[in-house]
Amino acid sequence: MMKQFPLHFVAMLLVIGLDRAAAADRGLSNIIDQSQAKMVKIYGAGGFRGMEGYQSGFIVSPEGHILTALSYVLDTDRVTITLNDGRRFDAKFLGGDPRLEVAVLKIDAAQLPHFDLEKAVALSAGARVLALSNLFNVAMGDEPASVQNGTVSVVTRLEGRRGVFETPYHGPIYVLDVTTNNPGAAGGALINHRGELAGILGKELRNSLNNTWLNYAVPIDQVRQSVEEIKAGKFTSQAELPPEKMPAHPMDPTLLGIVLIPDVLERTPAYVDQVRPGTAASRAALQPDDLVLLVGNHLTQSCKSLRKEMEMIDRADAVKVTILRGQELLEITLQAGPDDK
Amino acid sequence: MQNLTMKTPIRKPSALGKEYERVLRLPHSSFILCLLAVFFCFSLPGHCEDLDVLEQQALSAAADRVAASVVRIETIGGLERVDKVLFGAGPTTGLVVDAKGYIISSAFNFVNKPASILVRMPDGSRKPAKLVARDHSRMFVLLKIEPDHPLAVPEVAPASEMRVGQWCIAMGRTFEDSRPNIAVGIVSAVGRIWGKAIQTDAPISPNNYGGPLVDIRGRAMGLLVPLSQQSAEEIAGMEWYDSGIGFAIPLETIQTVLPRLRKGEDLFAGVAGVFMESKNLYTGDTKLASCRPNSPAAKAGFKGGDRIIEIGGHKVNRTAEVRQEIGRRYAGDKLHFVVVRGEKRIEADLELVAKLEPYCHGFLGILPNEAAMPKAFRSATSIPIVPPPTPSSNRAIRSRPFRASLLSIATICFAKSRPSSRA
Repeated sequence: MMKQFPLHFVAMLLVIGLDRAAAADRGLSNIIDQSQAKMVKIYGAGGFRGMEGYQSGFIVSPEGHILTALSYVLDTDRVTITLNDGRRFDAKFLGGDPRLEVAVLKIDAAQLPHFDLEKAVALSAGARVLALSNLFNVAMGDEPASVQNGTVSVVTRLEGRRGVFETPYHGPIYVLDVTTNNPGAAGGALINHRGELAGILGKELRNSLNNTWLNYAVPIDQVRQSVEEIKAGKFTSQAELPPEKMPAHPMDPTLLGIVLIPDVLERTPAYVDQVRPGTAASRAALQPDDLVLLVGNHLTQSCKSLRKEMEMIDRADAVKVTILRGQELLEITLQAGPDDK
Repeated sequence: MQNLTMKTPIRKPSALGKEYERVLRLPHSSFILCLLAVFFCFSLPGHCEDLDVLEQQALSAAADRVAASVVRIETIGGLERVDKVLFGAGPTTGLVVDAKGYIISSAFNFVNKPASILVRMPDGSRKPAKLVARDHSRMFVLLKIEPDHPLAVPEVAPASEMRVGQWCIAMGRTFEDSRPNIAVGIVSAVGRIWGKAIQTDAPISPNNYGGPLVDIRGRAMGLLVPLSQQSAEEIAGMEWYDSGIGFAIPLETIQTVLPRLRKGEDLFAGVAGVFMESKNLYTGDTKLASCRPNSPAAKAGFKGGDRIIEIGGHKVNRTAEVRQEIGRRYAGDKLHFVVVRGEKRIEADLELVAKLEPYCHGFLGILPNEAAMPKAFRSATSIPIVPPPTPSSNRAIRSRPFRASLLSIATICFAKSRPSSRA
């Protein structure tokens, strides 16, 4: 008996422990249950030519305000909302923010479970997240939204600079390591493992830097103000980022005396073919076969991008370029003189 | 790392990672069980949440430990499209393997043949890189830069410690310059793609090709590359990006070939020159249809009809197993083969080659002595081999000089053999 006692004791503790672990597991599933209750399915325009007539959204007030993505799906007189419990409502379009591509809808209901935007959290890279959405319209009627598990890959900016991403929003995003980029997922919710709202799933987008689909969510703190303004009926579209100003007299490589090799490819490397005598380039001892890598701090991957970067500089200003000569990186400054042609 | 003269201090294994492993590892002694049970009972409320936080912290700490060795690579020029894959001009990733400036990356990142390669240092400066050598079997490349300071080299996870199901983190440096992007998953399999790669369910894509797969203790397990079972093309496997099927070449293997790559030697998959009778990889047995003349197998005296029973000390029963044994070897590797011919057992060490010599196929059954060809075109040629039974052997032509006009030589047609299931 004495010998058996510790074993029994251990077994007992283990059972309690496992029970607690199971309870904690139930905790996560409770959190998912509670969060799914706040999700809605949105049906509207579309349904042909690969344009799905559905998307996701979530409730942000007890009286039926719904946050979703601004898209063609809402571009109709009759947008239908299906709640998690299967109830259906016609939604009223309160307004949308074209820059953030979010919209607020309103249904006539009360005491709805909802996400409080004021309590939304900010995430950093490595945070564990759940993405809730009605991807591919898998859930119908009172079926709950689909849940995907993932991690925040990195917090970065959707840089719209010169069309890297074809989107009007240029602010911070959460890049996710889970494939949330699916038809119908736009407007879904990104939450952490405590059930706290963190972001809204973005529309389908390709990363033109490497031609892959981007899985991302827009942080709630970016959209909160717009949502409040739309709810209050006094939304004014935020000014778009001012477009980068082109100088009145843009610079061109030829003005510096640089003759590039013929631009015959999509990405012809910006090799110097000739240096005209008596010009800025010859004064700076630029040589044929030098490869121009950077203008200022911007990479020039081709003759085209070199010309584009130079266009952003006034021809009266000095141009700092980094060149590759052999295996050596050289930084030189080119300044067009008043007599240069 | 091997052959290091300049060594940077390697940080201690992530304490959190160790702590986390200790929590998860199922101990055998009841004493530890007891401790574990007490831990369950008396830990703070919501123990699972703690585990969740601990896990999250361990994963981040592991990524932080390798981050300094994960560099951003930029390219100048290059093709816009290779086959049907459109190439963006965005940055890619590389992994430092030597403090003196050796960096490995995925061959995929350079398949569009850029004019110039730049490596972005952790301090933001750029260094021009030279492509030193390529590994055409495992689809990675070795780059060299001249760094101002010794570079941070990651600790390497031993292949013997890799377990299916363990956490792993895929890292790249394509979104932000200042910090790497991470993707979390588990090890799905080891010894994939003919024994060459670790498989993971973490999303692997151009966002992290060329970056490391890292374990929970912050040790580099492998180099992320696209791979395909069916094809040896450099872009093969890209169609599986972000699908949950991703591959990494074990760093331990890479270390063993680094000295050769450093010398500028390109590496190729080794082939033996054996052709299997069965075309089905998985049901076919190991009976040989033929051996390519002048191939390692032919030189060892193997013939059609022989059955391979052992390669490199491993028993083989199926065509796929033969591929598995040969597929991961390099050209130049010596491999022990055992074949049976009837009752006879034949053993031989084969030195695998990169490429099989194409052989000329004489339709008349006569093969010209190629060494004698220039002379032959002047006056005559000889018939060195007459493999029976052919039309020429029926006519009792034997290996002896015979006079032939240019016209008759022209009637000897040459055809390149078309290998089907070669290994």
